[in-house]
Amino acid sequence: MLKLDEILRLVQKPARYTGGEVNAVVKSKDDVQIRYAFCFPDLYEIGMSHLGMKILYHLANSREDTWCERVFAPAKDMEELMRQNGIKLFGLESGDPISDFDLIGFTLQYELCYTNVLNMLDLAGLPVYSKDREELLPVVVAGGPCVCNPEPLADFIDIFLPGEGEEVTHELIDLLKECKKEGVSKREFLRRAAKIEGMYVPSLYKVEYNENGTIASVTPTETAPEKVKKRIISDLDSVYYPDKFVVPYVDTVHDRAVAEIFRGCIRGCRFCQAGYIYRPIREKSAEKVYEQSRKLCDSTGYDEVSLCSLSTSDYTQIQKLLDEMLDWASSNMINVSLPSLRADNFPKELMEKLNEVRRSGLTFAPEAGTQRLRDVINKNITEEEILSTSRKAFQGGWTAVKLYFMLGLPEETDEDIVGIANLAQKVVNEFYNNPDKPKGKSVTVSVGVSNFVPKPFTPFQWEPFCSLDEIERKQKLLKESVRTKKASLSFHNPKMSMLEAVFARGDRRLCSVLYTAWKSGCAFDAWDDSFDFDKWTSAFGECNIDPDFYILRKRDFDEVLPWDHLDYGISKKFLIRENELAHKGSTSPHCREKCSACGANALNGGKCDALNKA
Amino acid sequence: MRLIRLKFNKVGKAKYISHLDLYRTFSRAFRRAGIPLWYTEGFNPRPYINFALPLPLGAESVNDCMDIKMEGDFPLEEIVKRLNEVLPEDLKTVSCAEAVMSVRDISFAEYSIVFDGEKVSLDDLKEKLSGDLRANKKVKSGRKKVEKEVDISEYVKDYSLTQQDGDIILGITLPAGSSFNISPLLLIDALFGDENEGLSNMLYVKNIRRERLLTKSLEEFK
Repeated sequence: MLKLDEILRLVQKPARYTGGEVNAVVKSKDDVQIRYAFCFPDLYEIGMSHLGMKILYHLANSREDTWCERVFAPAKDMEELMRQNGIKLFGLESGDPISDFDLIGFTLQYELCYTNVLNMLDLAGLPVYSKDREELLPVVVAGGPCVCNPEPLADFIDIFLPGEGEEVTHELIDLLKECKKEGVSKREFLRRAAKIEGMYVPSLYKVEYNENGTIASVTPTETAPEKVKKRIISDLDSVYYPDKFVVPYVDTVHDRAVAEIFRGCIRGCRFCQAGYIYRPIREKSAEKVYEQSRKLCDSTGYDEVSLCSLSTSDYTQIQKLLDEMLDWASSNMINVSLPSLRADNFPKELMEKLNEVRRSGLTFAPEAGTQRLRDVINKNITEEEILSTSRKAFQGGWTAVKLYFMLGLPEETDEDIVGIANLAQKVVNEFYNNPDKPKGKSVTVSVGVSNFVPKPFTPFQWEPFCSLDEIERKQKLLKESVRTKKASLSFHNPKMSMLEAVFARGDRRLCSVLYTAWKSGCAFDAWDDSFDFDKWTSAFGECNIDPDFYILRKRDFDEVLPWDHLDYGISKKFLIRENELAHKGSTSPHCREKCSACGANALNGGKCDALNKA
Repeated sequence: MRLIRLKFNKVGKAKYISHLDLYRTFSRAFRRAGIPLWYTEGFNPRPYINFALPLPLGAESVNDCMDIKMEGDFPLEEIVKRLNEVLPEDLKTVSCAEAVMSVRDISFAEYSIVFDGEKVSLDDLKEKLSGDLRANKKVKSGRKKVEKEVDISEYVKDYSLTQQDGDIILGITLPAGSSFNISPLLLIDALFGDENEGLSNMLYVKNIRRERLLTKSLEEFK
């Protein structure tokens, strides 16, 4: 049997497992009452890039009574050696097994990490089923965007935490502390948890099904409410935000300071779940963003700060913020990056200013190949906007542009797919039409094509997912339509998308499929080198569940959806209206132009910052 | 412009920081410490930090060397103090001074390698060290990198073997530097070959530590 230190000599990237990074929080276990394992069900490099985890890690550690540690899914080589040598999943800060902790929290960022959740519980030496963990401790909770339909994980997780975690984390820790002290049973703890707003205890709900397989009813029992309302933070200026981040040694996906500028999105793109589940719009003040950026750069040594939101140029104070920030940034050799910029409303002067320190790439997400289909999905960006911004970028010396599209959208025809190729061609042409184009340089237009997956709480939540055959045909058609060598196509794996589609809108019956697939060896399903579709197919077969039921069916508006008992503030009437407009090819104005009455402002006492004007 | 040579120790958990990651780790530490480095010119300006000799991942080093460039008269004695305040526990600077030699003057490095006394005996090691030592080394062939078997017996002359707490410590000086380098990992491969059925040779080794960088005349590199 080898010890952890011996194993580290044998694995790839051992720094993933050592902890000890700058700003990692080390406490003495005797000084705290609650030990919390914050688990990200993917590799270190992915999890360490996630802003939510950074916030909640430092927030929990700001309490004297709590020690929160980070846990990531070990890569396969590490997992194998851990299992062979009886090493249980441990917290990076202490190296102690998380089975000894009081609280285990997962963040669910995408559906294809679900098998990793099971695998991590198992690696910790814990039973994966909630009902088999009979003791109070450790309690297993989960938050994150996928919790808006957590039903496929309902049998494994004790409590789901829909919405934003800053307040509810404190309430959860307080409750757990109290219950631990009183020595109450797990059942009693869960009964008390269900009474707190934003705590969804799945075991307290009874689900019944119709003969046709759809849900007949979801009935709360004991202390559980009819509907569980997601939590939101009302004021982003006063809510906790860390002044330091753990600085990783290994290169992570997003290795930089991040300042959050607003939550929610005014755009209402009909396919985009994030555009709905984070409503209502709440902005942080420019002063606060600037202050937080400076503090983070000082404490981490990062030379890049990213202004984070779903659509950065929609921040009403962007001009003011950049005016203040860019002088500080350039005199300190700090790069300010603005992801998620829209092509239509970003002033050219600002673009130039941003490039003073370092130059980043240019990316557009038209999502659909024709204006007609962009109207269907309410992606209000025009071809002329894409071309004129590309033109400006090429004049400014850029030689690479990325374009993102989706296949399989509602109302899509072959014309729309050919339209993707045409748009890419037009961007290439813009480069060659530029009289001042750099000599001897060529242009690269990278076209990334993913598959549309209908998601809960969007106007497309009733829509079918495109069949695998149809996606393959569409991909082939697109390949044949692209004639220029300057445009390179890359596709998302349709089978992965299909699985994502099943689980995104799945119900509790999928728990058995998930368990069976995991037992047969599925893990890291979002990674090409470990995704094994055949195993999934047999898991569905073994459990007698037809995946097509979840994906190929167009649902009726009056069908009971598996997530109907969760309240994300978005009214169903609004989603139905938007769905009908989509099928008519009519757009909706963005929230700042005209309120479409989605209902989310009720979560924030009727306030919505979408009504602020720049 | 001043070329300043910092000596640092990289031990414990920090031995798992790879060569590339070490650059990032230090450049951030300089920023946290408020030490203004000279930035390279060009498309992507970055602070000038240069490590004298890369170290294999998983090996410790003491008195390792790194060069930085600075403009102005930032006091040297401040550098070590300020950096150590912001560096992680297992990565600390020891001293700093204007560079005397060129990194090209590095010709040898002294290592101590701790072998697990439960897995290998002193006599066995002695015998292996005096025998034929061959291992596959990655070498450049034109533009490609290929594996080539090399005989390193002639470089394994100057060594000592001592026993400590049941383990065996090999002290050895090996050729090092940008023109010709024998990695301690190559020596370990040559010692144990592939006779242990695919398990890494690192299982025999409890620790590798590079003690010093030396010039052609075995003077300490400064």
